[in-house]
Amino acid sequence: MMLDEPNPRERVDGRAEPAARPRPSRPAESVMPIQAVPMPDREVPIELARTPDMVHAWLDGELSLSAVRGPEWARHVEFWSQVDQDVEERRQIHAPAGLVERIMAALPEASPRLVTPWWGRRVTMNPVAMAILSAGLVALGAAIGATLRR
Amino acid sequence: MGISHYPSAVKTTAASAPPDQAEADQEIIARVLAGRREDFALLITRYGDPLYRHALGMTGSPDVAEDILQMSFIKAYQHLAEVRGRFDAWVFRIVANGCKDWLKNIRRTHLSYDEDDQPSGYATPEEDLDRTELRTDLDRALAALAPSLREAFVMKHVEGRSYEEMADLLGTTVGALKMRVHRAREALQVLLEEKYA
Repeated sequence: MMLDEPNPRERVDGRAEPAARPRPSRPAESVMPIQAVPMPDREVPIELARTPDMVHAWLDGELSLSAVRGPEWARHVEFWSQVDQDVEERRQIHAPAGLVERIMAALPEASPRLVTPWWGRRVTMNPVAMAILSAGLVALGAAIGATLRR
Repeated sequence: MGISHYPSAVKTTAASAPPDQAEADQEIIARVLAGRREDFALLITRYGDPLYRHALGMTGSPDVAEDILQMSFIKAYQHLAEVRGRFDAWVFRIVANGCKDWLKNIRRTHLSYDEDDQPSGYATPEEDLDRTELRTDLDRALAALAPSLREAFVMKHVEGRSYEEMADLLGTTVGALKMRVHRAREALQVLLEEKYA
């Protein structure tokens, strides 16, 4: 079984401890997806309980309940069993009735379309328009040239 | 309280769309982009519940969760042509970012949990009272956690996602997420244990 060892002295809000203690580097935490918004930390310092690794492993589904039946785990198993009753109910919660209809009513009328920047858009031009544009550019160039020669 | 009941809490459910469903999503998206606007309701129906549970777990407020869901699906509709890959992962990131934005913008003192908004399905008034109290306390404890820890706990325990799926959705590593979930548990235990253990 391989489990990460939580640092019990580290504050839950992610802020540095007041004491000058070298913080362990946590490179994995800094790897965020480009599209993810960084999580703001809250100013609520909370001490951490020392939950045994066995209990974490059980809660992670890596161990069966029988593995944590001993008296040394009883307090933790009892606590998390209570919490589970509430969590189980949260797992059954459904979106409010009528939400789909409310969202559909709030959708914009325009169909979704891929928004392409102007420099990426394709330009189509028929031969007549091309000839007129070319003639216009030649005339503009001649006018500019004549102005510069004066 | 039945301890034997607990394994359901650690059970990991198939929260992500299977390959067939992902293909079906792409077909629906194609139809919506072709002008069948009403088909977008199929995507809302399919993913509304898990996304609502995530928003509710993160914000603690049914009203806010509904608002975030509504804004997220509108945004998803407007940018539907930009979906690359799985729709469920894409829309999850929109909702998750909406929750993070909301948390970033509120002050801690504005966090409230309206018990009247919560559904109740308990057998007796006494049981209802006890369970409501635990629910309220757990919500307060969750609200006191750093959002990244709350997000990890909600995804693992409320939504029943595997660490691998969480890592895929959040763009981080399994090890980092295990660390967050473990720290969230330990903090919650400190906040709640005196009363409930």
